[in-house]
Amino acid sequence: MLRSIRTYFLEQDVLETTTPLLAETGVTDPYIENLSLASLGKIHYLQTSPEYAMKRLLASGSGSIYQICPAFRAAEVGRKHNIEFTMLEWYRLNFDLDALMLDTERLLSRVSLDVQVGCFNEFRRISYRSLFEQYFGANPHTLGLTQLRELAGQWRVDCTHIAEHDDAATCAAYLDCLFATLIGPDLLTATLVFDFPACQVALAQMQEVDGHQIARRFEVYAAGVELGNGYHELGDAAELRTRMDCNNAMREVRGLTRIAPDERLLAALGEMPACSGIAVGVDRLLMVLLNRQTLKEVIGFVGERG
Amino acid sequence: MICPTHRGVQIPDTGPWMPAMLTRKVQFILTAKLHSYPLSLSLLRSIENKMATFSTSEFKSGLKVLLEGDPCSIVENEFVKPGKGQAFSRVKLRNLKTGRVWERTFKSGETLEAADVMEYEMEYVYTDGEYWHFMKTDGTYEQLGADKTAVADCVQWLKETDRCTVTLWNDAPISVAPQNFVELEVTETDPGLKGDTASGGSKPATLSTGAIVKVPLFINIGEVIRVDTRTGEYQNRAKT
Repeated sequence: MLRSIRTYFLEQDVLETTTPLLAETGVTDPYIENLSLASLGKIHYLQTSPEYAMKRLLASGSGSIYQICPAFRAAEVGRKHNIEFTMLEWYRLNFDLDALMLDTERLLSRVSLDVQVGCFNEFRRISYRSLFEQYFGANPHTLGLTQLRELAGQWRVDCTHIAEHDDAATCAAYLDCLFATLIGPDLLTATLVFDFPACQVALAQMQEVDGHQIARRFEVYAAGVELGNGYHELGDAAELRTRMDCNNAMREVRGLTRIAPDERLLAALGEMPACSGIAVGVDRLLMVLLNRQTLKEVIGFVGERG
Repeated sequence: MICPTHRGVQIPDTGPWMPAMLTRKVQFILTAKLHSYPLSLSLLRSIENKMATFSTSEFKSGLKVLLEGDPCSIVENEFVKPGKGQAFSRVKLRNLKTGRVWERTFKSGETLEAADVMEYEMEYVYTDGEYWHFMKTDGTYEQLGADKTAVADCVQWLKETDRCTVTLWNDAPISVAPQNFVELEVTETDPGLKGDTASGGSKPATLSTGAIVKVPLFINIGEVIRVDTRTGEYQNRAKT
């Protein structure tokens, strides 16, 4: 599988890179926790993805790049989660979201062809809104917190675990919970879900579509498993700083530590060429290709065995 | 501190019972019981239970916990973490009192109190109409009475001296499960058709416990048959 991925990118003239696993800054996302290590009186963070370093490479003129590397996320353990996992991340210069979706489909079908399984023969593309409307009969771009709560109650989706604050992260948590409970597990054939609600924007570009602000990103699903997350990358440093500050404010009300914005990334972002990028969970991809139900079956040294 | 009647066993002399001391404490409880050490076993156990909690990362199938005051057994625990969203555990729990399965979500790190639930193999002894009495088979001959709610549907399979699995919560029976197969005598059924072992027809038969099952036509009153208690289906004639 790895050879197949590398061959694909070689043919596409995308450069393989290696960036440090250990960084001086972490991510500000309210729901992603870095593992941290102390050395010489300084805190270092194990990367949750190579995104920041790769974006700095893009800014310094690397051209399209990809990387296959370990990534770490604190406290994520389960059937589809392991604290340490392998990530495939790539960035394509001058690709918009549609071009990246096509690129992703091509890579996945290439890999499934090479490992001789037929799970990525066909892809379905559907907007987040259409999918959400099919299930819940409501437009996800107009739902406020009150309506989301009602919707969860109506569909008997227990959301008592969500920390209630009146902010975007709470809205996102409700949407995620509804999606992960009722829609995600149904996406058995390879599906690309695109154009997300604004509260789930992360580092994607915002765009107005049909009168709604939407986040230009997509997620890839197969066998009910989320495999990857693609973005039309935000290139505006001032906007990124606002989002990071906003994330930190949401972290603070949740009692989480503040993470200093990565100044090197902010400085580099202005130089970053227009691009789209995606991260794919390699272990999960293998799990789906081999038709397995748990990461344990595809990672040799998972969890307690590690 | 040394147990006065059993000098070999050391027990902690600090006041609060810390979780790390649990193993030693269990040894102590056993010793205390053996030597009638004047300490209430159930009191000690209740102290222990107040302290034992499990967090979502420790949830495993079969773990017994308290939810809304009822003892539950965890059936399944799935960690869910949508891309950039908040992580949670989607947990299926079987309410051990009602048998119903609940599905709940918990924030990562949330805890549930442990439920003092034990399963014993016990022998059914008799019923006084209000309680069904069971006896432990571990040599203690200790007897316990289970009420109608606890016995529930199992009542139709209960034959004296048969073994069952009795679930105790805080030492009181909350449910009784029969063995997968029981052998019971037919007390009522239409007369058997001699030699008809192949036609595949069936008829209802009442068993000594009151259960009604469908049996093949050749079965007669007085015969002992084997029944699958999970499906209530006739299996075969029991060898006598």
